[in-house]
Amino acid sequence: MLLLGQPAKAGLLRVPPTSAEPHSGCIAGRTQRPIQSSKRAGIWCPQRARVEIARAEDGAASHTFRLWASFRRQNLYPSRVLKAKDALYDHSYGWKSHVSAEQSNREGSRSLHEGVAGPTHFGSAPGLYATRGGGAAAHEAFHYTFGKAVSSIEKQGRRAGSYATPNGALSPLQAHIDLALPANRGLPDALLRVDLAGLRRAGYEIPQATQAGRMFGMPGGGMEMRFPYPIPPEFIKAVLP
Amino acid sequence: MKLGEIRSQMVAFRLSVDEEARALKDSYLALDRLHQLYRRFDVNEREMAEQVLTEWALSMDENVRFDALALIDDFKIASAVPALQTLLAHLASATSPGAPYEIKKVARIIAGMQPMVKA
Repeated sequence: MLLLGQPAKAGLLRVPPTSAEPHSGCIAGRTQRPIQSSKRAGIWCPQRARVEIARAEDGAASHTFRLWASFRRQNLYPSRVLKAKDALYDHSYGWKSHVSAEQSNREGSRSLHEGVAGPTHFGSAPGLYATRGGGAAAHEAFHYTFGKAVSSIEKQGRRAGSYATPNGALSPLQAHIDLALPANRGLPDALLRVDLAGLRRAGYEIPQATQAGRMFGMPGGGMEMRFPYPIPPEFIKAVLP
Repeated sequence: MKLGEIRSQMVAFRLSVDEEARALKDSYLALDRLHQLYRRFDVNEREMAEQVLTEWALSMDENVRFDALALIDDFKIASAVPALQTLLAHLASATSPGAPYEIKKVARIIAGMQPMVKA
């Protein structure tokens, strides 16, 4: 797969090579044709799709990191990084749409916009897009953080001023870019779910989600909400790790 | 160092890390830094710091209380138990949405330190 003319760099995710042979897990349906690519053939194959998205994100991530390094050295930011971000979106969301369409075919009229999201590096998280742009009406929000903070947050709750996003299906890199997180602290490796419905029932006012602006050299653009009060641990659950 | 100096140092430090956490979108950072500050204190300074944390635990500001409770819980500051019991009484009449959950938290912290208090 090519991204902006750059070959995907193997190694980040250690993706196994794709075989041209039909995958045993592919649902060939009525076509009985050899499957070269699950996406091209329009045939749902979970295993092959996972490999494809992993390879796509691997390439996009490698390319983006190279551009960030380039930015630091030559001050080339932001146009080339924005292109890399777009490439990441194209592949990631395109794949999710593919997954969703296939699921719709098999399951009826459900669609991505009803809250079906495909697995990401953080695993499968429902609620994507169903809550996009919301906040006040959303049932849950997500906090991308670090594993070392999870036990403390689960025990003490979250401090006032903490952030969350309605989108729980971002990869660590996407979260970093979309939510404009500081570049020097590494990629988040943990995901927490905040029970907005529970908070609402308990009498808390849920803050509106707003678009994250550019910060720390990250373009932002994702939705975020900032809680002006401490969140009790009863309303927080670790999704990952 | 005297109690007044420790108190003002801790207040200033808390405000500083609070601002930093807000700027970096990482609320956990403030708590982490407060833990680091407490660990840096020597024995005498810790005694005074514990007194300051006890004052914070009775603060009207729930954000200040949050930090105090986290430190008291994590470092098992048994000398704060009487203040926590006072806080429980105050919270019982509070009407804020967070009061019931804070009561649970304070009760859990007190229960966790009962063996230390008895000893």
